[in-house]
Amino acid sequence: MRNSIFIATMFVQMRNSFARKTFQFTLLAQPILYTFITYFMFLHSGIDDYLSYVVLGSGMLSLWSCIVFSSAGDIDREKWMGTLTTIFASPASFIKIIFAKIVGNTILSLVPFAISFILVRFVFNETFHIVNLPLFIFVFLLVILSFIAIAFLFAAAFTLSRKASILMNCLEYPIFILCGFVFPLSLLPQGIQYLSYLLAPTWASMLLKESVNGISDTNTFLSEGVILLLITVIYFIIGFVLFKQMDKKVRQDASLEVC
Amino acid sequence: MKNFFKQSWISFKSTYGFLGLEYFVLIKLVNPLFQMLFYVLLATFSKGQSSLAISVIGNAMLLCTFTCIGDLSMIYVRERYNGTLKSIVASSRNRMMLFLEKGSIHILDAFLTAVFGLLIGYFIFQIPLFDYPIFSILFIILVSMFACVALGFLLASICLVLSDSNLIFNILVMSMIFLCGANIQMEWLPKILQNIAYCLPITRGLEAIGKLINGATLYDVRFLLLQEIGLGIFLFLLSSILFRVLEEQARKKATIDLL
Repeated sequence: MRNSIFIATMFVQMRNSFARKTFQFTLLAQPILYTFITYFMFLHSGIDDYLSYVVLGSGMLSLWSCIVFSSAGDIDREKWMGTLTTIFASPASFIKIIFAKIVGNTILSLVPFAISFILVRFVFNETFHIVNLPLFIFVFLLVILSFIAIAFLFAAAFTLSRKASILMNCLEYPIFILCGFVFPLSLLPQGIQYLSYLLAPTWASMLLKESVNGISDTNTFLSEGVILLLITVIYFIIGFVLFKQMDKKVRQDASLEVC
Repeated sequence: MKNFFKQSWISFKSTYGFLGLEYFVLIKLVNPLFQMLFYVLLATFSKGQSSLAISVIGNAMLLCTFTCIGDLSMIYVRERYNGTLKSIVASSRNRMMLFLEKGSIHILDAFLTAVFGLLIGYFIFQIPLFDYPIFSILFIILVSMFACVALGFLLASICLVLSDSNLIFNILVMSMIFLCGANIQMEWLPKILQNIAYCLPITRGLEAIGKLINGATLYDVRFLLLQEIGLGIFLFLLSSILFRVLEEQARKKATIDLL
């Protein structure tokens, strides 16, 4: 029964998200355009492993956009539709419903990776070779978990914001830059790089590229994996604490729909 | 004339008036800053420093498309949302005049955004902006903006029969980022994509600016500018015809307020 609520919410969320035009753009059109942009930009760059920037970079850019325009904004949408209080007051836990929505969105948001890979393979006729496929799959699962964590954190933070939709629109490019999805962090000033290392997508991006191109130093790779896992756990804890505090605050102030 | 500016100011206030100053700054300054940083850093990584100037100027021009096309295309969508579209359709006022009345301040806003982009290039990327013929560059930006405004009008007309313009707007703007020459050199693109690029505003304007940077004069690039103006006029004419046709269709089907 408990799992059926989770799974049902997940599928309803996937259908609802896919019905939105903005999400359709982010999920289907954006990865195509990003793949074209990055492919033609890197084709003459002389960078050896440029296809990893094209496929993984485009996938990560679109995955992040999907997270920002779905999971982070879902609570705001529920608020506008007047359904947030119903979800909040339902017998199933609010956190569980939100978590199921995030998992549904994140699974759907993996489509851009497939689109990017298919374009590179069949339109540009290039071979995207993964050096260690089992490792890549393992890292990919870890990356999914980390993105679920960050979406959970944003969902909690945005519940109490009246301007969530505006903040959502301003969250795309800073993360694209800070996390080095399509260029190395060394392009950024040293001080900014420290900020990048606090963000899970930075480590996710590094790990994915290494698992595709081959690991040069096993210890460094393992350290990066442990750091990503730690940051993911921290995000989950912060998100959970924020949800608990929000729960208390909206009940005391009766401000769930007005904040 | 007083009424013209008053209407324009009201239109601007209705778009941004509900935001606080901090959110206005976030949308108008911080977001364009990050968008420009992202594409210029990506271009620098993939192409090196050689084409930095054209990347910066091109991306500064692209910033204005969001306002020129985005805000202008939403004019009728907002009217519909506020329940005033039927009054506009019923009024005897010239549609083009009405569009310019509402849109002129957005055009000014777009120009200021492009200037802001150029200043980012000057201060952050340190391109020697004032060593280039800056007034000629600004003039070309204005010419390209004319074509962008026409495209905004075209999209606004299409919005009479569309419920959500976001999908088409986002595809259009990202296609311009991809094709206009700011990020990818035109000769790297396949012929078919080059042909599409020349159907879009900014491409010719940016080509003209590239030539100015390399020592050409405004007279040398006059044909490119005339073609850009021609494209703008063609798009305006097309929009006017389309607006009449779609308005007629919406009247007959009584769908003006229904989408």
